[in-house]
Amino acid sequence: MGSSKFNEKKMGTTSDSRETLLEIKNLKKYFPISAGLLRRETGFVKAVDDVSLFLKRGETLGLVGESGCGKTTLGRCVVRLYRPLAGEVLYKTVAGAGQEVVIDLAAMSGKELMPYRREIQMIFQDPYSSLSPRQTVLDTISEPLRANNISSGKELEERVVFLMKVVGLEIQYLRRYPHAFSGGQRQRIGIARALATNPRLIVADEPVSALDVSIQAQILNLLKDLQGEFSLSYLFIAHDLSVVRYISNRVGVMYVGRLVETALTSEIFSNPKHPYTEALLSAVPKSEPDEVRERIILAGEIPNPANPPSGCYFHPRCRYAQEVCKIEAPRWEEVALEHYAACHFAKELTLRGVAGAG
Amino acid sequence: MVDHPQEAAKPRHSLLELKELKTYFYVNEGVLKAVDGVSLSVDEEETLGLIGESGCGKSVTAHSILRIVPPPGKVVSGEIKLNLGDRIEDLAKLSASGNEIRSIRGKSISMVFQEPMTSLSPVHSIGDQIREAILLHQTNDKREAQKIALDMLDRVGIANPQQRIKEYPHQLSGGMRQRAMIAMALSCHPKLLIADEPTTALDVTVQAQILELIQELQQQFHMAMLYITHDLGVIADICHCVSVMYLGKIVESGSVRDIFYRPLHPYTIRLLASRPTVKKNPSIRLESIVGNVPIPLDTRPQCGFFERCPEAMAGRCNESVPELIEQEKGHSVRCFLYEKAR
Repeated sequence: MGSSKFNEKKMGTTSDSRETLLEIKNLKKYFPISAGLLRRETGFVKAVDDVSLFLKRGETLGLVGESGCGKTTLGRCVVRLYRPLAGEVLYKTVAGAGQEVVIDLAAMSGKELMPYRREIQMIFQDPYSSLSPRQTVLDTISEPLRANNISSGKELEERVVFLMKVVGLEIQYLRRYPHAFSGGQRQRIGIARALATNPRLIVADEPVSALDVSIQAQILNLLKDLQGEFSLSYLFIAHDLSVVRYISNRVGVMYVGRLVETALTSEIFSNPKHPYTEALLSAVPKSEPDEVRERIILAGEIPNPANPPSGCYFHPRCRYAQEVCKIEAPRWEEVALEHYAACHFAKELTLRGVAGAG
Repeated sequence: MVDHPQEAAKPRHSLLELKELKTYFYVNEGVLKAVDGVSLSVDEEETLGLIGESGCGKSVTAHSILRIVPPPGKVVSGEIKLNLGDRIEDLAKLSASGNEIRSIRGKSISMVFQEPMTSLSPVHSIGDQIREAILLHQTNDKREAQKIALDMLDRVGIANPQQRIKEYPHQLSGGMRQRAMIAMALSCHPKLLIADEPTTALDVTVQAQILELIQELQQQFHMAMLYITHDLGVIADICHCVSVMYLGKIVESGSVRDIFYRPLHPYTIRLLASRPTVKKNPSIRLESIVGNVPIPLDTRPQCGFFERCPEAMAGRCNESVPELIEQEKGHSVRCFLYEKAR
């Protein structure tokens, strides 16, 4: 595994002047289902099934979808908590002399990954279970620094104090344990930990969904500020479309392990091209009482990713479905500039977005 | 807003009225005043939204109405007046385990909880659980109970009820479980449904299905609803009136349009400004409320929002507790800023 001829890897080019930092190509991650006495493999849950997307430097890509759509699995493949089954995760890193090289994270072994771990960090959803209750704030934030042999001793503590200031935590709490903190403060600790190694890319998996509204705004603003300050790129996984609207430059929509649409945020909200995106947008509760919202109520339930429908996975619930949708899986196509969708009729349908979201 | 005389003349049939309700928890650290003088009223066939952040006491308020507050919690004082048609019963005076309250729970008032997986019994079939309430309140005939249960499952949109009624909660999806829960709650045609964050654990498209269903059934059954949530979007969608709760107290109440378009309390104003919506311009920075949600333990006699309020007046707001005062018809606020306006 892991042919280390990194320089041979090539990334696609985009029309934007900003360069691509991460490009995922045809990524697959299946989980085996075993049954019976001998735990024989009887099938696969196709958690991520042939997903391709890219992330530019300094931008936030919001990844939305309902539970079980594979957005978390995708994020975990990027930070290589999971080893993908197939596909490429191309990442542009900086080699010794400021020279940029493209590496494929998907194929690397644990040892090969080590030097790059510090560049890609993760923020987790639940600030209650993602912090060790037996580690002080100092231990927690300094762990990545120690693990990567970046600093030690007095320098280490200085770095932790700096990080605490950056995320808005009081320095006097340095030696406290997580139980003494509220949800919002805990999430700040998690963010400080992610920032410790000076990462370039952060995968944030639902970082605000466990927080109260007033605290959620604090953390969203903090993430935006940090992005500017440290020129970070975010892969922001969330189910809340209003949060994604606020934080993302571009949005990707997933359904049953597949990416169905990506576009610029304003474009996807005002001019969706996939019927699932249209339904998802219409399901968001009103933002004020006088807003008129024609709701598309989807019939039935999300299919089981171990046994998805034929053709387009969305066809049994799609109000525009035709014969071809039952038979043939739609191709991933660019339907407008930097607007991709996987729908047979993406170019023909006129779909409703959120009024006034343009 | 000018008063509309014809509106004022219309008789309001209040179904439920809470007056200065206090529910305290006697814990080791002291007295936790989870509900500290809550007054609100729900009219017949109306939906009142109770909104607040975690720990503000909105769920405990609901539990107090049904008298299911677990120890060391206790309804300490106040009134919970329920209009039963022929008489008005003060639920706060009833024994929490007596026959009177048991004849009201599940019959006149029923409740839908947030997490249907933990609020349904895993060892009883859906049918058993729906029939239990029907057999308790409506009929002694098991076959009739079965018929009502099947009819209810059908009405909440569960396909193939004959099969589903035999199944156990783990065999249903989250949305289906919540539908089963609603079927159970409505099986005895309650006058009031208390819904405690029934869609918070659900995906957005499933949430849309359930909200639609709840509104439809509310009209069919002519019932009132007390809808508890932290989501202002859901409030805008389905509520007629809103009470905003903070630190065990109602800080503002009014019609849904009052709250969204003419909010008065500094907390309400900032809560609205702090939430992102799909329509808000993302380049405008969200306003966040400084600090954290406080814990109502041994609170001082001051405005609960004092420490986080940018408009707090030292010497006034931290000296005494403001009263909930009506500013315009049906629109009340608990804040010293509006004292002189009267």
